Amino acid sequence: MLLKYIIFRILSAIPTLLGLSILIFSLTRLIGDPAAIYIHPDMTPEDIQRVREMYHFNDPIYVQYIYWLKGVLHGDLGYSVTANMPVMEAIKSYLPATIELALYAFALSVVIGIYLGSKAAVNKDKPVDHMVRIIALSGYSMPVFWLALMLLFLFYRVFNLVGPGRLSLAIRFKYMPPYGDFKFYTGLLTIDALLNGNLEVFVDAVKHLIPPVLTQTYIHLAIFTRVLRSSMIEEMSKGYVDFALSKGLSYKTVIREYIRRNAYIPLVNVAGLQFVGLVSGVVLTETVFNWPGLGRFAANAAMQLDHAAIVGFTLFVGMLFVIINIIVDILQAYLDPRIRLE
Amino acid sequence: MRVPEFMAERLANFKELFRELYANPLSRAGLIMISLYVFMAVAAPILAPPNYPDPFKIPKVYSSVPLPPSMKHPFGTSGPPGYYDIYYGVIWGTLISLRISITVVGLALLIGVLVGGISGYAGGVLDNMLMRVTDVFLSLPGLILALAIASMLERSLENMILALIAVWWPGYARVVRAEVLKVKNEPYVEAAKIIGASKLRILFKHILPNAIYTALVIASMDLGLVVLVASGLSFLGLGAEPGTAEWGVMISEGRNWLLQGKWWPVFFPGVAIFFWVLGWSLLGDGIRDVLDPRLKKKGVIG
Repeated sequence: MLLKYIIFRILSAIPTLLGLSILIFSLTRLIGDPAAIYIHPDMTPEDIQRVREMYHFNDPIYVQYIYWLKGVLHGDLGYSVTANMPVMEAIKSYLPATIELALYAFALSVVIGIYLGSKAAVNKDKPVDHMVRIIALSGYSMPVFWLALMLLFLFYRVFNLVGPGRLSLAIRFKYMPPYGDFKFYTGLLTIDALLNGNLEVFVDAVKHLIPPVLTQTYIHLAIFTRVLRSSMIEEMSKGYVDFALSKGLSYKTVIREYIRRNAYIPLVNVAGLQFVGLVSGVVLTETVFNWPGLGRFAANAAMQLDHAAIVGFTLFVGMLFVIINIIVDILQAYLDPRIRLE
Repeated sequence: MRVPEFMAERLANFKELFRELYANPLSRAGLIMISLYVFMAVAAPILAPPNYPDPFKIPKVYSSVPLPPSMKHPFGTSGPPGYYDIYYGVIWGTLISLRISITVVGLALLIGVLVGGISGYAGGVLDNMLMRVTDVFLSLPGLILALAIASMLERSLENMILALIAVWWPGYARVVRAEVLKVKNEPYVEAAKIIGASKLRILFKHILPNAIYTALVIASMDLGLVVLVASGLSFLGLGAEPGTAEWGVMISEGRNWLLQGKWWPVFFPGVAIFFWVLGWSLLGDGIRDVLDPRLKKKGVIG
């Protein structure tokens, strides 16, 4: 039954993916000359003519779409002028920095969100609850780039602790290739530093992670807190809670063993969406902290009209979104068998 | 009692609505914040004498470094390349924010109501196709899609508004469609059919007026969110031109001075955005609670 649902869910994503490709393809046609995204500044007019032929820009539009899609499926997303390499390669090389940022922020916001959300639910309409709601609401209303700038100001100017970037220059010149012999395994600096046994890099990487991770955590905390709070309040009003209490179980046990499990199910849904939100939401945060990740790459591309890079990034995020949605649905079907039947 | 009529009745009674909004401390706070912004927008020419010929361009205050807040420049000034008076920008930025959010939410709502209404009422293949289209738009995070569209167009406030509308309408279309499906089989719609009313008349006169309330409530909260996303786009250089009294642009121009310890060019416009979004969220939440207590669960504050 679950397997059948999984197959159904994957198949039902195909129309969306196709639609997504059409939407993004039409984006590339919003600009005047579609050939522009494949043109490299060093090309001669003859080269450009060859590009036109190669990508079939003289054919009818639907033929162009099919050729474009074929290219995309083969991993050809054009050439990024800002990164000075093929878009596919650029995405691969910028992804680890973003993943590192997103993972820590995600983990922190889930943990803190669950803590605050359940604290608020248990103390509904008491001062704790109001405090938590104000924290959540202010995170939701805050412009992320402004918060990032303010934290940068605080950590750099006021505390004098850490500046923008992923590592300080001194550390970078001491250990990073081509100057040093630091080896990359995962691309996540904190983990690679431990694998290299290099504590100095580890400490520096962690220090640089603090302000951007705090920024992202604060913004995303709101959703987790809110969802957990309302789902816990809803669960607490259900019949099985009264039953468990009247059976003589303590309030604490009921909350820990009965309510939490059920209240976490909506969280899975939100968590999936928020993870994509984190990977894409870093556009602004990474720009502020000069963080060499996918977000800054996309922001630079947007500012310098590097269309191929924007299209590639958008396609990447869209696919990630669709895939994570499938995973979330399957997870939920696994947790709650009623969903499979629908 | 059916929900739409119940809500229509409450919406019609403005005085009552206002009184109930005022009774709740959170929505009262929202009401006060938004009233202040509206006051700022209306009184802008008095609060900050307009800069001719284009009042939306901030007047320049030449100085090699940003000047700290003083009597003459209450929020300080920005330094090169901006040289702007921050106070003027914050005040006139209210007008631009109002314009952005009303245009985006208004037009997106219009498209959403039309698409959602037709989709829900027609059903069948058309419904399926339109909903697949909204699926596709919703399969990208809003900021990313807006970024992609805006970066393909020329840099201007109008094009950014266009990009935001493209991002915002599918959400409304889905909500309106769901409501239309609920209302579609009500007895009064059947009655209209029997009298021989045309399909268009049934849709526009009988169904849609009863199916838009949820979308309206969401729209009131979106008035704030639109500015949040818009200022992000402007910050990245995809919105209004430099020198415009737009909060996001002002922050992006002030950011180079931040690491030299000049915090005010960034701080004040950011506070303006924050309270704008907060105000509309609180107010929207309050409106929703007053119009339909049953919707309470999904809101901003939970």
